[in-house]
Amino acid sequence: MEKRNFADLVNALQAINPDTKENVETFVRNFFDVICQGLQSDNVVKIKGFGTFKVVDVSARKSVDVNTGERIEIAPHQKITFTPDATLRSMVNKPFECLQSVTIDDGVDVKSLDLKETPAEEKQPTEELPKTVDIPEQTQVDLSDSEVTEGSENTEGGRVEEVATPAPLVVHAEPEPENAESESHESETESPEEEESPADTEEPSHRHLSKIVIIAVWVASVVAAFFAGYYIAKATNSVLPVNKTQVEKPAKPAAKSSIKVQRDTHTPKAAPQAGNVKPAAENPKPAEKAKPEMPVLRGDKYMICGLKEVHVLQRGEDITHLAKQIYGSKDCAKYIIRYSNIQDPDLIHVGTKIKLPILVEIK
Amino acid sequence: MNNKEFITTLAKSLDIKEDNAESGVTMLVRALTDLLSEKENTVLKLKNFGSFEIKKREERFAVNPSTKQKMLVPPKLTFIFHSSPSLKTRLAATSETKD
Repeated sequence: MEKRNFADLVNALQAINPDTKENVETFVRNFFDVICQGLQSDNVVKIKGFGTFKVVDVSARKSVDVNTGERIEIAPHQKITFTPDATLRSMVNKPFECLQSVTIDDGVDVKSLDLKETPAEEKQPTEELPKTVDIPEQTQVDLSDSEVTEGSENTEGGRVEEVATPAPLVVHAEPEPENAESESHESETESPEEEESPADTEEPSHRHLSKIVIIAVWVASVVAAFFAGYYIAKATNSVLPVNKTQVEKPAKPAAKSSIKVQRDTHTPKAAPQAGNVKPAAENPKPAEKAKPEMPVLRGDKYMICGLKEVHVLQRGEDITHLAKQIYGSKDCAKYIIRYSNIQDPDLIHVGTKIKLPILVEIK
Repeated sequence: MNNKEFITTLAKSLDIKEDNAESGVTMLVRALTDLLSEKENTVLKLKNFGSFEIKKREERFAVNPSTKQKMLVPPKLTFIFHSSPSLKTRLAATSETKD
């Protein structure tokens, strides 16, 4: 802590306003004396560009004696307060003048933030405080400790705007007017740029949050879709073959359709074809009365009426490929999948026993 | 005592023009802030009057009581005056003599 006294103040004033030490000293002394006089006479002294001194009455209050611990009443008394002027406040706060209050969105964990600054960081702003007419300096207050971890884009700034440049000084008496003008002009051109970038740094933080929200929603919807698909697939495969009550299509067209199905096939397997046709033809009656082994779903063109064959999956074979081979249509793959209770047709391996159903066309 | 009165009284006691007094006040204020801004934690103590210093207020969270909105208030530097007890006694003494 540095201590300064009356003499130091006189010296400082003399630096700004060159005059005899005597005159300067008298001026300063009178200044404070007049303040006292004003307080005595009116209890209020207002000084433009500085502030207001006020004599305030403090009412009696109960307290505890520090040494004895007994209850004590502090008598009513007066105290003198000083409230700085707006001009003085801005002059004093110059290193931090670009910082603004920021509203925090909901959902940010306020308690998780660490607001304490290290001494090293604290020294930065005061060391670089500008003197009366100085080159505009850029002071960067490092508030990285106090930032929300989400703001990764703004490693320099975080939420609070940080680059502080001294605004053009409001200087009443300018001992070096030329330098002041050129330098204030510089800072003016700088400040609009600085104003824009802080504004920009604010927005990304909001965009960033909304981005995270959007990504989270997207992930959730993908997961939900995955589960939905899974359950739908499960539902279709879980229906037991025993359930015959659901759909009963007329048996007569079944007979014709079974033959038709056989004719439609374009497979090179003529032998099994012929074999299939015979039993189909031989058993027109059973075929006519064919009841679907599995329930017919909406959009189905065929009924599953029993097991035709069990096929062991070979390397490189695909169910759609099989369907085309056996039934002449890739669309019949779904019946194979359904009948064989395959959960995921993409995950079947070589050697899986695939039940091939007898498909009867529905008319 | 408003600003005008203050300047008038000051000019009278110094036997200078009011314009000069006013500019003098401005320069004094500037000198005062310069003195305090040079180094961190400097305190200007004036005998029988009080002490001036510039304190740093840390960044903090604030809640708007009406909208319940959370805010982050940035750090800032404030000007602080503490009156000395002798000033109070001085005022009290003179007010007693007045009465």
